[in-house]
Amino acid sequence: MAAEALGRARFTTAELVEELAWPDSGVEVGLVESAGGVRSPLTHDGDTVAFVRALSPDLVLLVADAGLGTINAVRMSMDALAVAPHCTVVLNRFDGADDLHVRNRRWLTERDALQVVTMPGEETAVTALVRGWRRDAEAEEPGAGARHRRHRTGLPRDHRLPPVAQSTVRAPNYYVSMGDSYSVGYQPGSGHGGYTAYVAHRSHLTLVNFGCAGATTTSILVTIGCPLTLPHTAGAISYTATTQAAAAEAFIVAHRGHIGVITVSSVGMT
Amino acid sequence: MTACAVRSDPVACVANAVSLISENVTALATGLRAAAGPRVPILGLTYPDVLLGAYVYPSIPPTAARIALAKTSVVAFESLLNPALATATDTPAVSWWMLRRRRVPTAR
Repeated sequence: MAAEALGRARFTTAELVEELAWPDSGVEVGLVESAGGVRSPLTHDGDTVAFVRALSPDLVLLVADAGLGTINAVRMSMDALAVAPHCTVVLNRFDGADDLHVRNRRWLTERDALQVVTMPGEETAVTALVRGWRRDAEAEEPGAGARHRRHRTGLPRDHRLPPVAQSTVRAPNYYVSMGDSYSVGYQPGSGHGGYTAYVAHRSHLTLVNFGCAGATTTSILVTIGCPLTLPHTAGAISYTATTQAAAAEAFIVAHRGHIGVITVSSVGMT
Repeated sequence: MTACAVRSDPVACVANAVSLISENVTALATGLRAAAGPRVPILGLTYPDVLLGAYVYPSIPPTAARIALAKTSVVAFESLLNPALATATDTPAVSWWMLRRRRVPTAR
């Protein structure tokens, strides 16, 4: 739109991607910054979502305001960014003394199970994420780090992130949980995490939990949203406008090829 | 299922519930398999047999009524629920791995 207003030539997402060039020596972390909202037009034929899809970055940082309207904006943006396997929310101009800012961050982390960092002071959290993924990749594929170090010399010019960062992309990535209270952490005698958190930990998969306390085989199929989320639900996903089954299936379809396992616990209450 | 424990005829109650469960599980499993593709493991877990669990729970006295109910629950799982779930999920369109509750001796 801006190019047209300025009388400049239009450019496409593919052309924008071709403009990217990484140093031959490779980089530890490559940062590509977009502009506007995730659905704002970025090129003549695409938006930031299309750009993300074309780049396949290891991590998407969604920068959001910390105050009024944050939760709505973040949720809608995260829905649009379902094409990206890993997203972290950065709450910009976060003020720890502002009650609304604090509540927004808590809501996003505890209710929507999002990874949230605030600036300044938590930049290291993002770095830790990247380093953690590298450790995981090395653990899964011994020697991967050494191979990537070799590849960093003479690296061909490529629009994608250099091999060091690419090594952190794993498939499958997700463990999808559905069902009743057992799927969201309840268990007799204790109840923090439950079997789903254990499976996620042992399988090294990211838990995406659509489970809902009190769910039945009928409510999974017909009830819109989840009226009760346990406070210790691990990896909980919010779905307010659709059923548990539809929400889970939409995620599975959007991440096809990256789903490691699906569990469903139910039947007890019909 | 668990609501059937307080009914006068729990086995008949379970038999009625199993029909709906079977229909729902078939729909759910078919949808998940279509979404995930043929290779993703899908595991279904039934609710634990809390009646049988209560029978062996140390702090709950094993009265004759509770023992009878626990034994009935075993029949309900093994003769009604598990076969229905197997039928609902053991189809080429689903290929679903169902973790069934194992048989647990009920005699003390």
